[in-house]
Amino acid sequence: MNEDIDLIDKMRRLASALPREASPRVEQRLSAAFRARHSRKAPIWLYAAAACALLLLGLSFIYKRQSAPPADFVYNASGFVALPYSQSGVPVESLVVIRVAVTPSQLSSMGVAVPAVASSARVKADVLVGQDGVARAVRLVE
Amino acid sequence: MKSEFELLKLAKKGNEAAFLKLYHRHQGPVFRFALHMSGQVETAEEIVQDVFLALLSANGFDAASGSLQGYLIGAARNMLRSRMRHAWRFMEAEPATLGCELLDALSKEQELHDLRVAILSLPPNYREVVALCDLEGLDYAQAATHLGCPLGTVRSRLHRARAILAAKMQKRVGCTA
Repeated sequence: MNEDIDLIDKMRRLASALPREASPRVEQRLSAAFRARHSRKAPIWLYAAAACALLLLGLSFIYKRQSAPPADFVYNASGFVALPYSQSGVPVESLVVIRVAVTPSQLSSMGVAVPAVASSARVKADVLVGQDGVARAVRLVE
Repeated sequence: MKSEFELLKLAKKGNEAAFLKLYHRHQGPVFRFALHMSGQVETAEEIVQDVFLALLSANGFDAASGSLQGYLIGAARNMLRSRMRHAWRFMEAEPATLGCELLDALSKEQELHDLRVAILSLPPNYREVVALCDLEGLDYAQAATHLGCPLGTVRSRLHRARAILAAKMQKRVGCTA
């Protein structure tokens, strides 16, 4: 028991003889590392702003898609199909019909169902053009 | 006065003053534990630095799971173990493996120096309990929390460690007599 007490006493003396704290250079190194770490970090509001901008961009894209006329929308009873993304801001006052010969792929890209024909063949179509020169609708003739 | 958890939150947000306040509060015990375990001032200082940098990482300290000091000592312990996994055996205290600073500081007290060598020659599990209970003055319960082991384990390891140390010191007396 006494041996234990003597040993513990020596250990306490040993502990008090050893350095008690890290040298100031550790604090300096830590401070430098801390500053380097936090200066590299962009402020959180910047990330938030970027996220909001992306969200708005996505929403506007979705809205645009939804507000575009569907491809099979019939412009009028005469069989014209509204051209996608051709909604002009100018109200229609007068219209002209222009007959054109286009390939089936061009026609289908305008949203018109094309009968099975050779891809190199041309089919006749009527394009409805407004007084502002913007094509509004298309109709398959043959 | 801000709690440690609040200081840590501020530090993680980039408040250097809060970080340094935490450092000043806790670096001493972490440094001494690392010093008692490694026997080298330089290694102990590197461990202190690594422990406090790790504290800033995202999933570090959880206030619900214990004290910050316990967390820091635990982190230091893990770092020491991984750093010296292959070196533990060689730390069995050849005087030459001790830091020069320690030898200089202790040269006037040969007995303490021999005790230091004897402590460093203990197996790590025993050295930990000696470092925390006998050198740092923690009670068994605190040491058990820091080491993550039952109280009885701390008690038995300490008993065994003291017996080994007493035998080594006795041998030394026999040699010098």
